[in-house]
Amino acid sequence: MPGEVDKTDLYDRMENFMNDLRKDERLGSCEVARRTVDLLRRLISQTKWTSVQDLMDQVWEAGKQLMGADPSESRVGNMVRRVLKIIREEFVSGLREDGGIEADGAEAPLDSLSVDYTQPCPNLKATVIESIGELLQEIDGSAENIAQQALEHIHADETIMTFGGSKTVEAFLKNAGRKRKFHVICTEGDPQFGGQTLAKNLAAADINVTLVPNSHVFAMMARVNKVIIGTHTILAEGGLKAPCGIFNMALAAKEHKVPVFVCASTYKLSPEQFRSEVQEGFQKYVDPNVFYPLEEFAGIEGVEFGNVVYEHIDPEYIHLFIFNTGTNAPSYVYRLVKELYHPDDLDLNV
Amino acid sequence: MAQTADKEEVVGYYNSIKEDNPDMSPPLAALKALVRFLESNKMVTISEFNDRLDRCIAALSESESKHSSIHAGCQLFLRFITLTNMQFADFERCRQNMIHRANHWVNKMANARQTIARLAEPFISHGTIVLTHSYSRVVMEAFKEAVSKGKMFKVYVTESQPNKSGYRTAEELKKLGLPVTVILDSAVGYKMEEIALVVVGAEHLVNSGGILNKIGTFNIAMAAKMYNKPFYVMAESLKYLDIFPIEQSDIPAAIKYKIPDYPEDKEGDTEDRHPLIDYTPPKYINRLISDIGVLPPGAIVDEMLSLYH
Amino acid sequence: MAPKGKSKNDDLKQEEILQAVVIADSFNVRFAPATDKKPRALLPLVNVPMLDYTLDYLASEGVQETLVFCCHHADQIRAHLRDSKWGDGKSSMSVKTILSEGCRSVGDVLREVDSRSMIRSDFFLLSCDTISSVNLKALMKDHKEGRDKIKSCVMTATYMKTSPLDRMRCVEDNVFLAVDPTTQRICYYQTQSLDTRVKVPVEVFVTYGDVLLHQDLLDSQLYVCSPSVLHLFTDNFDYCSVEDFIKGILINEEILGNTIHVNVLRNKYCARITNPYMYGIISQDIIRCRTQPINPCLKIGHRTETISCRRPNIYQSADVTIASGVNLKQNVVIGKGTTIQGQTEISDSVIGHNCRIGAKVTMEGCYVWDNVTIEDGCELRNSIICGNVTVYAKTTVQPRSILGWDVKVGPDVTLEANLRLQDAPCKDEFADESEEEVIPEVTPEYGTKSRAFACSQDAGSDDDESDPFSGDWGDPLVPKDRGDIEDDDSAPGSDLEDDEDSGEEIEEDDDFGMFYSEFLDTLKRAKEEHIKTENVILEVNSLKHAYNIAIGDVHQAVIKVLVDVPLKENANAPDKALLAAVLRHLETYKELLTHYINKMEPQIDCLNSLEDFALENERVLSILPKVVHYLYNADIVEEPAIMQWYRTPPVEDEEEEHAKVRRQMKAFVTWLQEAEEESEEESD
Repeated sequence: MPGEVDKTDLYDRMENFMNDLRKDERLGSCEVARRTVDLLRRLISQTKWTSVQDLMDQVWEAGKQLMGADPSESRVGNMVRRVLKIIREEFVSGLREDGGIEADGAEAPLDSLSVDYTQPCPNLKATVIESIGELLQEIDGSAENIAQQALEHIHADETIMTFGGSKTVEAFLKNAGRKRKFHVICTEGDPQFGGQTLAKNLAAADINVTLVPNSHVFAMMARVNKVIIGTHTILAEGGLKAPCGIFNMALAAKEHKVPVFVCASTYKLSPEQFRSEVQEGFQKYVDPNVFYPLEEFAGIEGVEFGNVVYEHIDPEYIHLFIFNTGTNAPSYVYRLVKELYHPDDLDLNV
Repeated sequence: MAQTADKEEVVGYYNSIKEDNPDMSPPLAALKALVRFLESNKMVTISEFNDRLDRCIAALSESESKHSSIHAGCQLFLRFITLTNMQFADFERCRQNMIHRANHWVNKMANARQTIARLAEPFISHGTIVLTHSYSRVVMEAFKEAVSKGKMFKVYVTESQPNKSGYRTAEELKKLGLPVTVILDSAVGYKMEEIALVVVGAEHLVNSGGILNKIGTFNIAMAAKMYNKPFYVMAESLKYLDIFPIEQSDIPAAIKYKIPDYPEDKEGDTEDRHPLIDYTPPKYINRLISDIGVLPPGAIVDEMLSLYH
Repeated sequence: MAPKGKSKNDDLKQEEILQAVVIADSFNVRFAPATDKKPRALLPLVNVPMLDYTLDYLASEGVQETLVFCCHHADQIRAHLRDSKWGDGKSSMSVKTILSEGCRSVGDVLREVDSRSMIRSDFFLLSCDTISSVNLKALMKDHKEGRDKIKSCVMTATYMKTSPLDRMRCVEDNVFLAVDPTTQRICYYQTQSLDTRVKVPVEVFVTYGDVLLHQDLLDSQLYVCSPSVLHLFTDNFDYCSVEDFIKGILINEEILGNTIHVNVLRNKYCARITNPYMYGIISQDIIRCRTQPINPCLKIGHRTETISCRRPNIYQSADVTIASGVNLKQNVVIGKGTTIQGQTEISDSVIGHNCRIGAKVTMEGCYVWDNVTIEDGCELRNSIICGNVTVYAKTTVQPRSILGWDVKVGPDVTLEANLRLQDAPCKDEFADESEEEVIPEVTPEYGTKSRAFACSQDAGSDDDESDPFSGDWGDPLVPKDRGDIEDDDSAPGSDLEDDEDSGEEIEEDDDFGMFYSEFLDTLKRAKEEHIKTENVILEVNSLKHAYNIAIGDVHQAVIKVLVDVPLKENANAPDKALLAAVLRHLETYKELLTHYINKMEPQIDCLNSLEDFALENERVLSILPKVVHYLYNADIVEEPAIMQWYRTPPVEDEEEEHAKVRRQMKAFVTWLQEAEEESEEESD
């Protein structure tokens, strides 16, 4: 039966995705977001559901499974919540059209209390799939949207410092480089030495690049005009969860009064609050093998080799966020989060 | 005469509600009294409605003058229930609509403490040292929630002179099984390096994003900022007050010298009196945890605007 | 077959799927008594059954068909797999469980696989307790490329490159390889070499030319096999383990022309839990994130709860209750539903689900499974505590112990190290079956509330005859307290000589001792059977040749024996009687003495021997002057010999003894010197 085959296919895709997440392949954010949304779209189109609540529960369950593969991977959770919000919105707007609720803007605070999600809504599937399609388009186009804003922020003969390894920043700088001449100082970045790749690519695009080790950040900061970085996640209060080493750059920038700009797509926005470094789902500990190969360092007793991936940066170190939807101050991030996500979807464990 | 009847009626409701629920916060009790008043009385025109409710609110505020938040809460209530479609021909239908909204809203407010506790609980980590100031029911609720999730942490609470409300907090926390130490108000700077985070309640939330709270809060906030410790405020949105203080002197005199359960010092000039409330500007506050969510302090205004205007 | 066209190639490619054979039995009882009630494959490793790790790994690496072979407790494994996600057929990997109770070794299993014809092409062979992060597709690709280049390759064995100092290297899994660097084939294979020196036959170098000798390989026991491996196992019934197979292939290389190649894993993890020691090491590696992507938070198997991690490597489930004052030092995993009381210190340990740990407990390097209660004041080190165990208050469990399922021990008792306890006494196989065994409710030797019985190491050991380490815990290759290994390597040459010398000395001592005792016996017999002295001499000579004794030693032996026999007979007699007996004995065997002790040399030997004997035995010392006097009188020993012996300077470190004897002899020697020409006095 075709339905069953589809289900196994969906199951397989989910398994594959979860395996990839687990393996620390450093998947690009765009890919993670896209695959999550794609999986959920398939789930919605293929599974049967009796009411909106039922559908949301199924999406919720699938989301929990995906998040379980790598709890620190917030992008998956972000996308699941976006999809849930889409479902809710489409449902409410469908009800409004039917006249179920009084069309009254002031109803907003009562929505969560009074909307009955157990009502059936036949046209929901089509509208939801369409909205998710739009979301996918947004995800695909986000890097370019950010890059198009480059000329507003980068001026001629500026020195820009960046942290290696962000594809978003690479596209941003390349776009500016087509029309302006400026200089980039690029640090080596994460253990995968993304900085080297970035430097190579920028050089190929005819941009002046200097590649420096991470430890040179403070020394070089005096001659820098701007710091432009990418990030892994943006937390609800405007802080960042970024690869280790970026906080050094932010601190050095603050010391030298250099503004810090963060280029990020909105799918990196997370409704999670930062409470502490040891909170669940924040940190990721990976194989120290990358720095300390098993062969050489195995026999040493009494020494633990650490390898954490992320660190937290306070919103006060950030000057401006460059989203695919425009630029915003860190203090505005909470509003964006409120628009993108529904408060009831915050805790996927409930 | 009808006016006094109204006042007596509403105050009567208030007192009986308070008797039945001694632990309920006064503003909430006042709101419930208003709702009951609204339910039991028919009104014909909007202006009658406005007048009568204004009178009730005035009566409630006077009877419980120490609780300045009653007035604020009632104003919010009024704003909320009237922010609806008033275009019906029949006022009765309007009234029913308002009652419906009022009940919803009051229930939500009644559960505010639980909501806040649930939102605040993840911020309290196991095995940390927490500092709190004075006695706040909301903060107690949050601590209870954290303990029920199996967390164990140490609490320092300031004495909170002049009414020593810190001791009350310490008593209740001991009953929860938490290790508590009461410290001098002046010892906050000394202890700050050990402390992992600071949580306080608030008497009022103000437009600037800051808070008005028991005297001593500002000291604690400054010390926390100095040591880069997170400073979290927990308060229901009901406590919102529509003023914009910039300096300490901007705190309204009506509020400054009153705190619950403490005799007001009415002797002499205000200049000689000890202020019992201080203002903590928003830059010292990391997060405001209220029933509308966990927000950065500046966001409170936006939220309030969207809800009530 | 030559490819006839693209379509046929595609067809062939489509048919090839990745298959794996998982052997869910270890065929040994290293984990006894934990394996009495549960199969090895289902024992928890960091709170997840071992088999789940293996299957999850295979699935995530794209293996499409897995055959799980179960022998011991096969029904439990089957039930487990039915309940797991592999049971409902949704997963991309199909898992077939095959029960074969009759199999007693890996060889039997492979023969079974061959007989069922389930394997179509190259497959992976691994055990149920393998923890790995190797990319299997790459491994298979390398194997196939290797096979294309060298047609004779039947199997690729994987090894982890690790230093011999690494904790992961344990004695019984130690392997030494000689590998041809160009083809990566194994040229020489030796297991369990305990010595610091390894002997490699010269033929290896002659046949293969350049070889790389590897002491830095850990046997991962993950093999990529071609189907011919199965045929080879079927053909050779005496292949029990893969080791036998490898050795057999090497021996038969000229005849059959098969080769085995190695794939050395650099910076990838792949190891097997072969004994409790490795269990501890691999548990710690998982906790310390060396086995990424496998880590304690992973939602494998039935685990659904979220596990939070704090530095340094402290993992705990959500609903764990930890009282204040508990110190989790490092590398600790706590399962869900567990409660821990105050002032407890835990480090390097794994605690299972729903455990109750009391106050003031110290735990180091322990692996505690589910539903265990440990009361206040206990101390547990380096042990495995199986499920449902109760450890009463103030009990100390020493390293290398395994407390089996449902055991109760304590209170107030210190258990010995290396202890294995189970909850019922070992069944005596030879006991009468009709007799009902009364199992005592309380076994006081392990504490007043305890109920535990020592586990006999012989239980079920009929599979283990080849393995001398069965039942043991396992040791690291380089023990922790061995200090600087370089000391041993410093002078290999001199080591050799020393060994030889000491070897010879040992040999000599043994031989001389045996000669001496035979001599004694001869004399005793001679006395009893009145054998003539000539015949005694003959016997002594033959003994000398039999034991290859130097003549000097014979001389020494003669006098010693002659004094020894009466000494033994008159052990309790007063000195005078003893002396009389000795002199009488010497008189009887004067011929013997004169035969051997004729020249200067033998005389000095004789005196040296007496000196040694005197130092060994106080009584001889007291009668020494009289004995020497007698020998002098009997012209057995002459004056020059005595004087030379007396005057020899002492050997270093023996000055005191030397002086002692000389003091005793002083009177006699002085008399001797003075009475050279005077008439001899009668000695009394």
